[in-house]
Amino acid sequence: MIEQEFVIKNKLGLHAKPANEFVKRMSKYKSSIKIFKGDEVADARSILELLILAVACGEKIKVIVDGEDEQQVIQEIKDLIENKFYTEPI
Amino acid sequence: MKKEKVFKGIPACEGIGIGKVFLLEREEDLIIPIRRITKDAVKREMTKYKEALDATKKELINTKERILKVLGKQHIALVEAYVAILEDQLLTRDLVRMIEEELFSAEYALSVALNRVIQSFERVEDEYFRGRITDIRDVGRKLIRNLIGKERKDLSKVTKEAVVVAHTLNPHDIIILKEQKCSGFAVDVGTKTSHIALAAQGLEIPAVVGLKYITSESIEDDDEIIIDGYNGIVILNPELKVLQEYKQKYEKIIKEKEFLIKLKTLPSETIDHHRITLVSNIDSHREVEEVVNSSAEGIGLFRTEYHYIDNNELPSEKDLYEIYKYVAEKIYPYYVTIRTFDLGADKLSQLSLEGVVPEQCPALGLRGIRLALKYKNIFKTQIRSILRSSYKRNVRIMFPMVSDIKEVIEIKQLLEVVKQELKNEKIDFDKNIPVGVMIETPSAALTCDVIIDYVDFVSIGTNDLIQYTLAVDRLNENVAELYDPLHLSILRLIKYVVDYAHRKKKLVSICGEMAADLMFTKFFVGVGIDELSVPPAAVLKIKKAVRDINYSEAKEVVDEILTSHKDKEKIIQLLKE
Repeated sequence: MIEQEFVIKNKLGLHAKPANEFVKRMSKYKSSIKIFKGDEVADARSILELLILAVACGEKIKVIVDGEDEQQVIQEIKDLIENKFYTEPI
Repeated sequence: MKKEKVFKGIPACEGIGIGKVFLLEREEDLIIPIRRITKDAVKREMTKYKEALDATKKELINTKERILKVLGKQHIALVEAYVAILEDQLLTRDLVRMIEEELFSAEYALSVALNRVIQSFERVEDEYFRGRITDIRDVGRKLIRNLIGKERKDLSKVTKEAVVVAHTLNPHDIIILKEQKCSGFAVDVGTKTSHIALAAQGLEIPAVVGLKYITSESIEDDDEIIIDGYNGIVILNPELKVLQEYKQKYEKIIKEKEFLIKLKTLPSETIDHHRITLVSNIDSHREVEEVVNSSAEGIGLFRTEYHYIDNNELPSEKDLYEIYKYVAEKIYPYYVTIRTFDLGADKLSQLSLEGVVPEQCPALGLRGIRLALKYKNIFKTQIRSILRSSYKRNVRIMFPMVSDIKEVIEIKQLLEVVKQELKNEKIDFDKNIPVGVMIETPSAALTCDVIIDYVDFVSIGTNDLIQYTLAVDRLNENVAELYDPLHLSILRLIKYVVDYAHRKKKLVSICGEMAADLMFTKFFVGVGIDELSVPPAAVLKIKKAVRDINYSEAKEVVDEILTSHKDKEKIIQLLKE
């Protein structure tokens, strides 16, 4: 199990487009992937749960990944957050 | 005769639409009654659900190409998000259980599951995220419609005279309305920033949103209706007087629009064919699209402070490079003039830099180029990103708040160091990148004859030049009256800068608020300014003014103003004539 914290850099936070990109990319892995904001939690494969989590720009999330491909998952999440989910020009 | 009724909503897209109601769908049309099924019917109900789901997905995907063509790439990703919402476990989990175990009909299960999701969203505090309810309802309705086989009215039957009234519309609907040249629309849902409003703005359809209950009112097809997209007002069955008023307004708007469209394609030159380059000021890369649409011939001032104050950490070279590259590519083949950060120490204190202390008088303190030369690492990072973004040869670099020739020399040396670094790293950039400085202190203006030898162009920042020359803080109510752009000292300084720059065949630009003020256009043209940099929204207004000026006459007016002492009223009169 890996636990790591990230800060969302997208201007509008984890909104519909980045959330969709997130779900799409996470769906190819086998591990369980949970996203925490405070006490609330969302499944990384549910766009609706991610949107209800309402992560704004600059907010911290905690990611808990558990499974055989957890290393790759955390790497890809890092890359996604770093690059604003490839959904903004900048 | 039906009685006039006025509804107040949220203005979504400017414009006036006058026509007959085309009532697309009332809110009640989609209320689903409870229906139970038998155990044997579960399988059939699930198949029905899956077929409807597939049909809805197909519909959505079919709209993709059209949305891409009309609304642009950013809306496409939304279609994908819609598909993801339809298949989301949060929705399907409940739904499948309700059909299989509780024996509800698919449409009822779906409407309950949708409502649960919507309720979860209603608890979200962040307004932006809560706003997604509209999208979820929208996509859910599509699916429900496919499940119960209820067809909506065909929007391609909408005519030019129609104003569409609906509970809600999706971006694809709005594209069809545009194609049908519909006069406007009014919907129950939506906010100023909802996708409905954005699509209306993108397609320029007069629209009022957020009317809440308009479809629940006694409103019928072919009722007379007016959409006032400026004020967010919808008038049903208007009285004759009101109707005539709006018809007049409408005619006027159409005439103005036609004139502005014509103006866009005309050059910005005086009656006697003297060219003035009209460019734009921007504060953020997000405004570049607006510049492109404004008919400006480039960006005369890209302020870069935003990327330093907005975040709690310094932007990286990569961050800045991406931003500058984006702007340079978007504005190509025109150029962008990137001004390095003009920050006061007060703005940087939150970044907790060493040696930054609060100042008694920031306007006269460590700001602009003074600050940049003190924190050379931050400055170098920005210069590197600007140079790197210049590979298409359409970037100019400009430095703010210069007050001494020594600073200009120091900047040029630093620029050479950075250029050499990039050369060593074999990174492509414009080796002859045009270099300019802002003239916004009296000391820079009065030594312009020397400074000009070190630069390719200068840009006069009138706001600061006036403040520093007249020793007036215009935010100070007690002296604000003394802030006078027409003060002889200001006009003389501008003339001085233009004359010395032109002697060395270098360009002079104006980028303060004065540039966008019609009162001064004749002065700038007559004094010989080469370029005016104004907000995108002011480009056409200034172009129109330039095209009404006679250059040789403007030169005489400027001579008269500068040589004979005149009071302010007389100057204004001369500039207005």
